[in-house]
Amino acid sequence: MFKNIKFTLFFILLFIIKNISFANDSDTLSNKELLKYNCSSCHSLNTIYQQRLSKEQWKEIILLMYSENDMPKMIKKKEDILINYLASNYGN
Amino acid sequence: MKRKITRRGFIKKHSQIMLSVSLASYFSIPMNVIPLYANDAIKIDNIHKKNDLTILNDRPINAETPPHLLNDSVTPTNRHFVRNNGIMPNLTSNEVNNWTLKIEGNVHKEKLYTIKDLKENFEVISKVLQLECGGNGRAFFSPPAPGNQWTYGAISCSEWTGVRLLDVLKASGIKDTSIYTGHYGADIHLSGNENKDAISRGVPIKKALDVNNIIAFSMNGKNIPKIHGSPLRLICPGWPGSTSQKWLTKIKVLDHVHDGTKMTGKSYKIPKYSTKPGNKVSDSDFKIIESMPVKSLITFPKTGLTHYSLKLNVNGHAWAGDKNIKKLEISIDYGVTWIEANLFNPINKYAWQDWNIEIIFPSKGYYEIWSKATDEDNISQPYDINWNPKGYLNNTIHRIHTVINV
Repeated sequence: MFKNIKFTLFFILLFIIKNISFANDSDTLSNKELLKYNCSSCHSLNTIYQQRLSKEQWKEIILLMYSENDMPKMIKKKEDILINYLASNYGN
Repeated sequence: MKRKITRRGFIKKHSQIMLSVSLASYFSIPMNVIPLYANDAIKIDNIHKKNDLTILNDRPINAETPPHLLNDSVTPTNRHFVRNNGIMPNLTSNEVNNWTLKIEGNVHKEKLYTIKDLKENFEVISKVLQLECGGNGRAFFSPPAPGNQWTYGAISCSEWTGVRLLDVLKASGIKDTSIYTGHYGADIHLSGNENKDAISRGVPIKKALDVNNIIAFSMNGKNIPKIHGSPLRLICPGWPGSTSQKWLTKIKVLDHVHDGTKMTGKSYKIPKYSTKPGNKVSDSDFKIIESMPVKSLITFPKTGLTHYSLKLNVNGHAWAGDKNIKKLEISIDYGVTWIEANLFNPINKYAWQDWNIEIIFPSKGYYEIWSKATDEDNISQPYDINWNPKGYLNNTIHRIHTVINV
């Protein structure tokens, strides 16, 4: 019985740790933070603020950032959110 | 004597490293890359002399000059636009003093020159040369095109001193099979990846062997400032500014078209055929931009001012890449009639040409003043943009507006 409680506590602890580490992931970032997190380590966000581009053009640019500019690949869900955010705020 | 490590000293010394580590991990920068926040100091250092310019971007630094600040025949250094594709190299004085230029590739004799060697081995010349960014005027594209949104001022005509690219290439003995050059500089790719070039473009051998290209070490009689490519840069006048490599370290002679950074894909290219605005064009249907087209600027007066006389002196410049300007016309009635302005010869081949005119307005009122240049082959500036996907070569007539109040 005592042993079981110890095991349960251990798994509860593991669960908490797992969630803490997830809290640092881009999952909880706002769209604006997502933009900053993925784009501004290489260039100023002024590069983006100047643009007025369609969703298709933004998609093309993200692909170019992967292939030419060493941008770490985003998970599909995040990539879609970012492209939509770019197209709706810096669209034409 | 060993230095005693104090707690305070340890924190001072190591907090910077710890900050780098935490920043690097925050932005998931891979190992072996230069943390780019280190560039902030360079940015502030170099841009303060450019406070009359319009800053388009701060990393990489890109800034343009409003037309009314380009009135000088020879563009002063602090009015010269800034175009960077990567991060400016943070050079030590030792690196600057021991700078070398390598000539290699499809040549009989590879060479390595210090700047002193260049000055001693080749004739030193000065020329006033026009330099325009291929994307100048992109801001007016409809539908918009991606890239820095240059309006009018990514053009300059400063005096450059150095040696002829022609002489330096000849000294290496170019092989007959050579068709292109590849230019390399010390600037850093935006990602910080040391294995990538920020930009590396080139020109066909025919252009490279033109007598007017300069490997320059001086700008307007002084050492080239860091922001313009110190201590050595190439000037290939009349062609997209990107061929005029800054922080020049190497020129490679090639038996094929150069495939360096921004030579491939759609960079500095336009469609081979006329394109409906907004249409997609596949990479294989693009061609590399060569000479820049005919263009003009009204640099006096500044647009938007009220003048209290029917007479107004107007002046500016006109240029046409590899070609000369034959005629400059002004219209004050939306292009219905045109008046020919006084046009002057260039200071030397590839300098822009000054023009001026005294306009006499028929009455008070609101006017637009338009300028239109025509080159030696009778090719004039268009009224509207010949659209292309990447927003290059907008050479439409220049328009300013004024109120005449008498």
